[in-house]
Amino acid sequence: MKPRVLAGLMLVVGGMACFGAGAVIMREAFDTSRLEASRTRKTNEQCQVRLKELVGETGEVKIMTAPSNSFEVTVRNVTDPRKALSDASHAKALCPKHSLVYLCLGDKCDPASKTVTLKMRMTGRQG
Amino acid sequence: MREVYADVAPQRILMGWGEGLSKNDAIAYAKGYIQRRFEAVEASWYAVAPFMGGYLWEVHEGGPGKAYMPAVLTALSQDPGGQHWFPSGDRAFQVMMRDGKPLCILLSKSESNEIINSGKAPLLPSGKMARAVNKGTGMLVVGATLFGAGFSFMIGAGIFYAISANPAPQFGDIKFENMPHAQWHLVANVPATKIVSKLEFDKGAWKVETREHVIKGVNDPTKADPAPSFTPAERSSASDALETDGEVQRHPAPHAHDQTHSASPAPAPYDPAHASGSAPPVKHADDEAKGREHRTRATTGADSSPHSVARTTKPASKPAEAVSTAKPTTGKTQPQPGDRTANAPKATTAGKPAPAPKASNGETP
Repeated sequence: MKPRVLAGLMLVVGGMACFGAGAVIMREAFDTSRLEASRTRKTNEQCQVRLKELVGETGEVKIMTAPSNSFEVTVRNVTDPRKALSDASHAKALCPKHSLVYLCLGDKCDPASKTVTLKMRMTGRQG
Repeated sequence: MREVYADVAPQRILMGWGEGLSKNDAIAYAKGYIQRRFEAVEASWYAVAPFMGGYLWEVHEGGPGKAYMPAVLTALSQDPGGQHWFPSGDRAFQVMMRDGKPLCILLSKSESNEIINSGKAPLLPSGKMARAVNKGTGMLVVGATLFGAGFSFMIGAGIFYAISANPAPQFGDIKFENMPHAQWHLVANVPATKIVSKLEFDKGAWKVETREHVIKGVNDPTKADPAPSFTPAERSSASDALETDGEVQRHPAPHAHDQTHSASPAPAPYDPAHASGSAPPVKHADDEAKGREHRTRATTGADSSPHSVARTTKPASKPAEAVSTAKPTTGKTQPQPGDRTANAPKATTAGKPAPAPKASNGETP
């Protein structure tokens, strides 16, 4: 077999292998994106469930439409401020796909209430 | 010959015409001629072109593969009656039209010399030719192209994966110093005279809003009342009243202050640290009541309540000279645990005046 033909055949085989590898990488990329999206959705669902458990009956988790994928947590009649701050950190850990954008702890946080209130607002982050 | 080809000249050049030949037939004829007549087959070239209902074919042994075919076609078309030639090795190859058909003749040595020396210009090569034997260049080109495309696709897929499909960390860039539980120090050291209205995180920054801690019915604990001055007669009458009654008297505020401040050269200053310990960040309803009691204990000298002052000043409020002459008062007022002022009479029975500052050092229960 002539050298050029042999080299040509090897290049053809190598080219086909490259096409195959590229196809595998592309499929993996799409699979990863799909899995990541699914994981994010389930994480957000679990986040809301766990937050409701965390705030208990005195608290309220309000899902907000704007900005999308954000919610506001309100806990009234806070008796242990230090625990409330720990709960806020805990809430952030429960919702890794959200960023804490606002938090207020005190009796001036809720104009409608004179008791100590914890308010926090979290929005979904990209990636 | 060397004038036509700048570098390498073909060893032999031949041309023929076949009437009614197809292109494939012409190619097969040319390749067959090369196989039978040429020695360097792999260095041979061929070219074919349609002409007058047939095909002209041209073969070269060696050389760069430049064909005379275009020049021959042009010459026969424009000058059918002329005799045209081009070199073939050390001889001349003549092309002409005879009986309306092209005729191609490789001249003999002597005839070649005549026409070469005649001064008539030869035809010049200009066309492309194909190799008689494939060296695999086509396969190499196809393979290289395919490999390049596949490699590019693979690199592109990798870049796509790295950019769009590479999953981000589950947690973002968390700064622990910005976590809510790490902000306790912002409110832990607020003075007891203030209340944290709110601890707020907004626009990426933490801030604390405080207000004055004001309790209804209680003076500003940071401002102690000045010590009132009473005459010795007033002071004596108050002391007698306490002794004769044998029980705690609920004196008006001026007398009570007299009792307290006479034993104490100066009112006990308000000590936030002593009063508060670690300040709570946020006061609520329960704290208010506790704070009132706490403040009362810590600021006895400033408390204007007659009841609290009387209750707390009985053991400690006796002036040093009065204590030295009177019986120890054991009436209904029992010394409170930890109250050093309760033992003051025993310590002063020898007539030595008890040190007044010790009698009321603010440690009233």
